[in-house]
Amino acid sequence: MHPFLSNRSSVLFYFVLWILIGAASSFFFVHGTALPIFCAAYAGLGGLSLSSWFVVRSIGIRMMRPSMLIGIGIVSSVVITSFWLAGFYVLVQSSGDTLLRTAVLTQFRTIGFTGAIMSLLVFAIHLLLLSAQEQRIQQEEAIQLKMLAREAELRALRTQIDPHFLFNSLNSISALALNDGKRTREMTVALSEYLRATLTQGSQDFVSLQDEGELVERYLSIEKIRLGNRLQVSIDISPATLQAQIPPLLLQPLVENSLRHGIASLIEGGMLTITAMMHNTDVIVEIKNPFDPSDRSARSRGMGQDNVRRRLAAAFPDLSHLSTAADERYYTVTLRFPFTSGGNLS
Amino acid sequence: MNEVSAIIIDDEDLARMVIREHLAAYPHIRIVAECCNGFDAVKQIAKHEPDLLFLDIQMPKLNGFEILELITHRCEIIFVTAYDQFALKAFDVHAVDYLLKPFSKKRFDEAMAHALAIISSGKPESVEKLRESLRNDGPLTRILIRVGEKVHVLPVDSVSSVEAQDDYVEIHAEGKKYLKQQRLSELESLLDPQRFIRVHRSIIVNIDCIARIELYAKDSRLAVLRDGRKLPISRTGYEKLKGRL
Repeated sequence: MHPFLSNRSSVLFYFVLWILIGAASSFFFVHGTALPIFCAAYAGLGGLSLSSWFVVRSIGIRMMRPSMLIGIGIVSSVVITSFWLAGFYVLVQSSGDTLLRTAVLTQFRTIGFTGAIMSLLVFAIHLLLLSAQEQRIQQEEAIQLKMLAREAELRALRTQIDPHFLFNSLNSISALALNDGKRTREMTVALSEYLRATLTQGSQDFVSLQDEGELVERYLSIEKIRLGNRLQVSIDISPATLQAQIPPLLLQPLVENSLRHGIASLIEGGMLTITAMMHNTDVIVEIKNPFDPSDRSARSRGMGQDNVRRRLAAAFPDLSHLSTAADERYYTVTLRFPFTSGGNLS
Repeated sequence: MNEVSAIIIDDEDLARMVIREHLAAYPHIRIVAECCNGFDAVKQIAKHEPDLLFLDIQMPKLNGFEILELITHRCEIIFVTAYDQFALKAFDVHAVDYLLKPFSKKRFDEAMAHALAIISSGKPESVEKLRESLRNDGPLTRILIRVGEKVHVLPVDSVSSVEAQDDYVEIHAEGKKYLKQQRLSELESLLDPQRFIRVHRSIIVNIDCIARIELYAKDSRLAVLRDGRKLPISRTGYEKLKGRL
């Protein structure tokens, strides 16, 4: 929508201004005769000039050099003025006033030139309005991005101390303590390492897929003690993808979902499959788990998954993708994002 | 002391092991079954009619509260959970015994002392109030029905209508009928009021399953469901439906 046309008073103001210009021109060129014709003609020029807004909007002013913008402004105002002059000529011709006709025709070049200048002025105003608008949008986007990052941080904090996971793990340790000293120690070490890794990685902007993979493996080694042989794990991360950079704790919430909504809700349990591979210049990570199709909560992965989607989108704007698929037995989450190694991240 | 029978319900082997170990100090308590999922738990409780349950809340298929809903046998319950703020509030309000994992021997003994006192007094406390207070989180998403040892889980989306039959409700879902011991008004209060409309004193209909409404006499109408069944609609029922369709 054109900014002038969005409210009635600005439309009125704009055209009244042009009618006044028309009246002034009538005095300047033909000593105040043919006032209505001049007013109508200049209101028409005002109307035609509005079209340059759409030119300004379509060219993407952020990318343009100033000289290009001036060039486009001149061309568009020349085109607009040409149409206008043709209309003006027809209007004067049809008035049947021969005196007026000669007066206008002798000054046609000046009328055309001043008209083009005025149209160019409108173009410049459009340019200013649009850049102000874009700047405002940019600021809003920056604020939104900041809020997303903040949310991610909170989520990361929450993941570190997921109370269910923590207390259930401690209960397992308490169970093992009396009978199996070796496994008790193993589990204590695994839990500590997992907590430490979430603490250090959570404070970074990016981690390698290798680091995230190791964190997930630690998490799964603890869950394996809890869930026993109900949980089987197959991890296949292609060596080419190991150095790919991702936001920290991106995969862990997805794996947690796979257990909570998938394998842990199946009596017989099942196999969790995690794969990562290169596809051209993209990395594709797939997390697949069996689930109970009659359990409705298995499909709604809620907050955790939305959050991962948004964080992925914030890290790789327009270049990443998270999709989910469910068939009769398996639920699959697929992430796709560009491979960036540590060095070339901006 | 009389022998007390107990069932341990938890999906984690290690968690059951801890309780078993603590119970070793109570020679008069006999563990009659251990269950690792809700379906099995419902079956074993019906079979053994134990005096005492150790009930975990988060479990596959049916959670601890859903198990409660399906059993008719009255017994003393000690809830066992890792973390559940919502449930803990309810437990405190209704003075229910619970253990937070991991728990100490002292805490276990306290819960046991309380539970055993109630069992020996012969009046297990009713868990119905607790059950109701735990239900306050949004409309029902599935209806649980027990027929003998078998448990049916009906997603509410699949339910087309519910009709009152004396003390029971007859639930129609995917071409089958199920009887459940529940009052119609109670079930009505649990269902999503945007989708399930009480169209008649004894009938609730899922509006997604209504094909059309027929006028069959002055002031009385019939709802024709997609499966062809016809159900009467009262005048007030029609007023409620008009706003939704």
